Amino acid sequence: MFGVFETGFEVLTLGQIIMLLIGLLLIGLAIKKEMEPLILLPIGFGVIIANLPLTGLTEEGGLLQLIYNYGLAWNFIPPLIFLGLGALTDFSPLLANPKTILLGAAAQVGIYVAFFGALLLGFSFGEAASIGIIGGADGPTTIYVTSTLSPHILGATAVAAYSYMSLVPIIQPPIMRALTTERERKIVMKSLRPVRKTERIVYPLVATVIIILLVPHSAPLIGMLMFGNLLRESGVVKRLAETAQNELMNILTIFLGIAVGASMSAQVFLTPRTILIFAWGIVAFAASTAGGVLFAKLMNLVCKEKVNPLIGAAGVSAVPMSARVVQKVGQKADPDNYLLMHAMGPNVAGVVGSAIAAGIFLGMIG
Amino acid sequence: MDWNFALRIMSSGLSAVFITLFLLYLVMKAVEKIFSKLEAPAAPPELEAGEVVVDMKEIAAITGAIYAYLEGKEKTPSSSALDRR
Repeated sequence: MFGVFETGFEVLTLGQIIMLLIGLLLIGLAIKKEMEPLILLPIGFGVIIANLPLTGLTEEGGLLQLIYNYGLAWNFIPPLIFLGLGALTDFSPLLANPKTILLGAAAQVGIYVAFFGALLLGFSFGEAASIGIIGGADGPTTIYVTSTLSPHILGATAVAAYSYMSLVPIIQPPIMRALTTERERKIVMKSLRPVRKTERIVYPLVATVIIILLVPHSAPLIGMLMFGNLLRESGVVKRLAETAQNELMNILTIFLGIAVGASMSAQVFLTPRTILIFAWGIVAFAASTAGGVLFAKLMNLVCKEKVNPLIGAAGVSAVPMSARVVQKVGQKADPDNYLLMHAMGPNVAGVVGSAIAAGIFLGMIG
Repeated sequence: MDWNFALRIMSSGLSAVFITLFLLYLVMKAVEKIFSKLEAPAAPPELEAGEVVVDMKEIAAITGAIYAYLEGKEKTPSSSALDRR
């Protein structure tokens, strides 16, 4: 154009223009609708700069390629985000009512439903596992599994996971209402007992040993999650716990978002398969919600102490959004019923459950 | 497509999630029981020869009977509580 050097305008393709619009859409959703802004805004910007031609950003040695390689291809960022999550997580509601941990297991059903469905549609094992894990409603877990098993669909699964997580208040309530009666939604649960500090310290240690011995490939996620939690609960390393909760988590989120965005080039993202990934992602999410609610109903048939089946929906993780949704749906049936703390039990159990499911996929397919 | 492998992943995956979390549930219950026993209130000490156990309810009953006598509500301090003494 200027006769001396080439400009991007001359080589800009239609696919890249569409990707620029998708990047703008993600930024718009983050700013205007406040949909998971912490992650969708960096992803949106990453999409835009990764799809501008002639920058060399995503080529060998380019800035985005370096962030992607060291952060995601080496699987460095997602486990460290789990460290921050652990430092932010309070397991007390789970320890106060341990049986709700089983709801966190039941809500992983959707992962396997979507996995099987994706295989039927012709996806490979690695791709199907990455699509299925969206049902765990856990962004870092989805990114961890996808970047190991099928990095070429990383952008689609990551955006699907985070988008659906922000759409929890829209996706979950109709399923919860369809699977429960008014009477069930009104069940009042016994208030939770106070949990001793010693129990809160012992839990991450015991959980680390048991889970990693049973599912060794879950070690990076579970190990970091429980280490972060130990920093928090020990009470003697406040500075470290605060760093894990804030500065470390924020830095990693910036790099995670931009690296995911960088992986979304036009030729990889703009395929019919991306639409299928989004479609199966929502199936995974819905099936996980249904799995949690139905298992809670099953527990009521065998347990002496009744649980409100709505709290099963919180087993999909998406902390704390899905627990808040449970509280809201529960209060519509009975304004004096406070389910939030009861829902936090399956909610944090869901984080552990999806990390275990990820470990199993990596162990069997990876 | 190896469907046997797919079914194996699904069945072993889901059962592994349940078994691991169920095991964790059992351990959490055990930990809860251990700590509640460790922190349970101590049993009353055994009495030695010559030691007296004071029942505050009984003392209150006796005091009430004496007050009633002093106020003239009863002619003699012969309430059941005093009789028993």
